[in-house]
Amino acid sequence: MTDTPFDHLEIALQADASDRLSAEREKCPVQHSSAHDGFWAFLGYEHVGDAARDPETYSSASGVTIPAHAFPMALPPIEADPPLHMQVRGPLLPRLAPGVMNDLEDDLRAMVTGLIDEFIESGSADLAADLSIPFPGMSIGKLMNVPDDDVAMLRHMTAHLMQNSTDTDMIMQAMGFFQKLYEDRLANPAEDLPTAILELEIDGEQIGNEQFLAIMAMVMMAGLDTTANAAGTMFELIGANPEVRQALIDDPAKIPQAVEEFLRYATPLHASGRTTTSDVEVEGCPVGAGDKVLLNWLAANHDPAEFEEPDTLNIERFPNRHFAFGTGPHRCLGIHLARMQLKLLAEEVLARLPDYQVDEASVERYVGVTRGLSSLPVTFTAGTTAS
Amino acid sequence: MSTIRVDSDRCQGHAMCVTQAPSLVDVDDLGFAVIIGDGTLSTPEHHEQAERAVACCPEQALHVEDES
Repeated sequence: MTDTPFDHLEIALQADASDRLSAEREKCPVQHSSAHDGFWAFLGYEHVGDAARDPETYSSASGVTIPAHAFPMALPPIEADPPLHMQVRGPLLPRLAPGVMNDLEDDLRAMVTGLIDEFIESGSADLAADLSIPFPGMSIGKLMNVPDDDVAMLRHMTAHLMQNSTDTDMIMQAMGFFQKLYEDRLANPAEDLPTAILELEIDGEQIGNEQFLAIMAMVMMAGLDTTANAAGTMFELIGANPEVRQALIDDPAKIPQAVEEFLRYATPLHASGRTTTSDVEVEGCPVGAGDKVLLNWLAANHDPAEFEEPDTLNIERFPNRHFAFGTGPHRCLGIHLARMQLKLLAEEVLARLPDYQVDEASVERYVGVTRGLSSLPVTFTAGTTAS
Repeated sequence: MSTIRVDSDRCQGHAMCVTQAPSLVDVDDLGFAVIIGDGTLSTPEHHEQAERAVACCPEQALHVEDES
């Protein structure tokens, strides 16, 4: 057993994280680390994919973050195994299906337009704090069908928890908010996501109060920070690659395929955890039953065994079977919402502030469950509001 | 004649195939891939679409069956 001080959180904070992960992968694609109470890091595309598609061996029920988060319960469906997993996930799938998201396009675009209106006349903005971070909160607020004041609170709580996942005070605040939502929808069912969650049945019985809170917490944690960081890193990559920017301005129809490449390249959800249910040998390494395993999506997404010239940003890349949304039964539940959000953000920013320049010295990065930008200051030629 | 098939046990609903083969694959209400009609590849365009759909699936859930 080789024991290295490999720490995915320390690496993910770096601008050159993928280079460092590739160096680690070349050294050893499966390695043990003593960090965070010990875990096995899977760094190659094939091992990561095989493990993610094998929930019988690689369980999610004991948590999917390394280190563990501080919520007082597992958060299903992401932290659940079969059969509970599909009992929760299945009824939520149609609410997040591609057609449903297409119907939301106009409403979501109006949110982006409104956020850009707030800074377009000034010629400067923070594309993280003023756009990439608030927009997913507003989108999830729409799905949750909660008032604007509550959306602002959700955004604040999530941004805080993503960087301080063990802050129990903030977790209790979030739980209090979801408890109010639970009581309200019990009394006033609506055509919205909280009511759909309230009506879930587990083993033939309607879900209880605590399970409702857990699932809402999962929606909040998975839906806000992930997309915010995908958007922030997308704008950073566009800013750093003039030929990519010009290609997308010239032909906005290329944006959806380019979004997949931004996701592969930056991989904001950089890694997820599993726990083995039996002894397995992987790449000659003895992974014991009950060991923690880290599936490093970012390392997999830069593996030359799968991706030609993996460190080149190529918006024409095909195929692009990246794991930015994971793979296997736990692939991101909000994948179609995320793609729509990122497409709209890229379209609107490139249409309205196409010449934005990033102030690279002031970019602020952070890492928790996801990696991304808390600040991306830009300047551009001022424009006019849409309304 | 060749046909495109989806392995429903492997499909996880990434829906990448739909962007590459809109004449051959659609998604159901849950977002999982379903083959349009019987999946027969009757034109060169069908073959090209099918090849791209198979190549882009992150779950390797699609394949083309060749019958001579």
